[in-house]
Amino acid sequence: MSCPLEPVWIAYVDGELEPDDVRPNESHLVTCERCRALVLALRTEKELLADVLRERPLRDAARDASDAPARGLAVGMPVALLATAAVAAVVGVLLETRLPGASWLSPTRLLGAHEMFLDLVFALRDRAPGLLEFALSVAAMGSLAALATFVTTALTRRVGPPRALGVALLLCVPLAAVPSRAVLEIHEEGLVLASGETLEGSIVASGEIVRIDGTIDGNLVAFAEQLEVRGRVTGLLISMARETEITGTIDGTLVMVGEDLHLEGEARSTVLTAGDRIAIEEEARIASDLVAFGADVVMEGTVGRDFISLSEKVRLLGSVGRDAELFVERGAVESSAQVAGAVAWHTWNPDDVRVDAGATVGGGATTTVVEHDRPGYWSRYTSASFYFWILIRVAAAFGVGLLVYALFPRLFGGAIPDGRDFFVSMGKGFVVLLVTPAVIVLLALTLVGMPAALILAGVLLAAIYLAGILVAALIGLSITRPAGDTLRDFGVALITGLGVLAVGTLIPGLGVLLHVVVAMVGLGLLIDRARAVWQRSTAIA
Amino acid sequence: MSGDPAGVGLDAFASLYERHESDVTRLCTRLLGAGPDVEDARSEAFLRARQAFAQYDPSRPFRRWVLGVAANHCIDRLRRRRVEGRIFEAAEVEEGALPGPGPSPLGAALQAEERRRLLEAMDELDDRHRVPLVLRYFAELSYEEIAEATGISSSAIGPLLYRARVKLRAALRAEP
Repeated sequence: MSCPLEPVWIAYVDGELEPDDVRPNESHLVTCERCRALVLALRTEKELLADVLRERPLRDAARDASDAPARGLAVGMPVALLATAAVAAVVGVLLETRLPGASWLSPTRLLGAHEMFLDLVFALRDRAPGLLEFALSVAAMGSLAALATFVTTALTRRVGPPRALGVALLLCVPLAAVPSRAVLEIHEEGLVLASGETLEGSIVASGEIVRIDGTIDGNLVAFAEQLEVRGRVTGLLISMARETEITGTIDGTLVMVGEDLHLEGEARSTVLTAGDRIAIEEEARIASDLVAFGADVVMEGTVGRDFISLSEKVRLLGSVGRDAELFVERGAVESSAQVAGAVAWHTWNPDDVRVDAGATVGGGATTTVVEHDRPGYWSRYTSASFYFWILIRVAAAFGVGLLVYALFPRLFGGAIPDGRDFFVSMGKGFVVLLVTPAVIVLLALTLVGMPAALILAGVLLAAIYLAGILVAALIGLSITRPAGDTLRDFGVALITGLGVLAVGTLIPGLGVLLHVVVAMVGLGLLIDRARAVWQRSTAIA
Repeated sequence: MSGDPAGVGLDAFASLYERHESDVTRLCTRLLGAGPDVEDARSEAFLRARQAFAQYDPSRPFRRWVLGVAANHCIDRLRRRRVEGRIFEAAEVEEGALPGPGPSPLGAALQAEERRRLLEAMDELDDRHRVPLVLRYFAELSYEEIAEATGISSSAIGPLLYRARVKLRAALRAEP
């Protein structure tokens, strides 16, 4: 067959070839090197055209930069650290001196955090289509596989391999039904479920608009610009939509995170919300508790049990079956409100909270003033218990460090890298600190991945703890330079290093930064060493 | 928003549109060339999209849909610029005569200066080459959708894109 003409290949690269023409042309590609090269070149040219039309930097520029990640990290990390330190210092000072206008920097103010989180989710969707969905399905499959492996291993130990295999096979029969419910059904381009329609199973829907007028018989996880539920969800609903409006019925727990959250329908279990503006409308019925974190919370509906809110501003106009616990800057229980139990305010502005005359409060109202001049950053240095706990922590780290040394002495070989390698280690640790929590969140979202998420969170915390001990030991070893490598020599070095770090972290301001640097460098070193130990052990095997 | 029959109200449209507004402007600029026309076209495209929003199928990417609406309007404007209103039909006459093996495709490693020249060369292409190029590689419309918007038969889109690309390669390689 002679080579197809270039327009054919353009249509091929554009995905516009007639279905019948694809196969013969692809089989030609297998044998013809020239056409393969042409197809690759056309694909590059297509990306170039799209990039130029979008007036965006070329992909190649990014690729060039990634050729030298180590160099980039070595230069970038100190700059990033300095910038972070500067920002942290400024924010700390502003918050501490309570400058008017600085309050938006406060971590209790959720406005910025939500927007950033949602922007990140949507940027990921735009830039890397399918990535979120892919991660979710990988996490779901991974955690199922991990559970299955765990069960089989445990069984093998108990009843021996042949029987374990038999039991595992037997288990497979009922488990085969599980994936249909447990594994998620994923809708990437939005989801509109008309009224009268029913979907079964655990659904993950993302896209611009997710609208449920019908029934979802199962759980729903939605990442969208807008989520509207006018029908019914029989399971749990997790919404990560910029705007969420629920007028229908949710049988399971309802979790809403976003900017604008409206509940007008019925929630037959607990409702957990975090958002800038949270409105529980007059028609809303919540069977159990309502927990609302937000900048602006208005509760006009009916809550069966407790209403708990941590917010800047809260207005309670509806009815609460038990108590209202309100941690706020400003708030009012207005005259239409009915609270069967007690109203407890927690605030540092007792003048800015009130219970209006007409309101019915069965258990009375109390106001706890949160110390405005709470024990400040500086006063801790004058308290004895502060130093006592530092000693306890050093002692605990010393004990754990000795134990780890006894088990894996090779972990503590070598020294703290200097120069460029130092920042490369730090960069690796930084990535771990950034990526692992994201993976944990994604795992936890898949519901079946909850145990795996908890295990991973535990591993991360343990690794951060171990990272500190590793860095302390290396600092100590470089100071004491022991001649031998007995446990006693190591112990002296370890306690020296831990002492140096403990004193270092006492320095006001810089101490926190030191903590972070130690965690990052330590995690980076830990990864390198764990890999070296692993390679050595597999090489021997 | 629960009042209107479509269920997806105008505030939904506004928030979606806002995110793609810069792409609509860019599309109008690429199709019409920089000038006072762009601002008019942009606001007209906004109005048309808002009117047509009831027909938008949420399972499709909003970006492609809104760019399609804007492209239709820009093409109307291009037609009005030509008195005879026949800018695209001429393309089909040439269909049989494809240029032979032209210059090889452009590599990605272009300097900023060359990219600027590429953009200029695109602006200088005649309408019947430029429009399919922009609709395909910026608005990401399918050949079928481009055919619908321009009135060119869909079998002619591929050859047109090929000719457009050959012209761009030539323009970029010709002068220093």
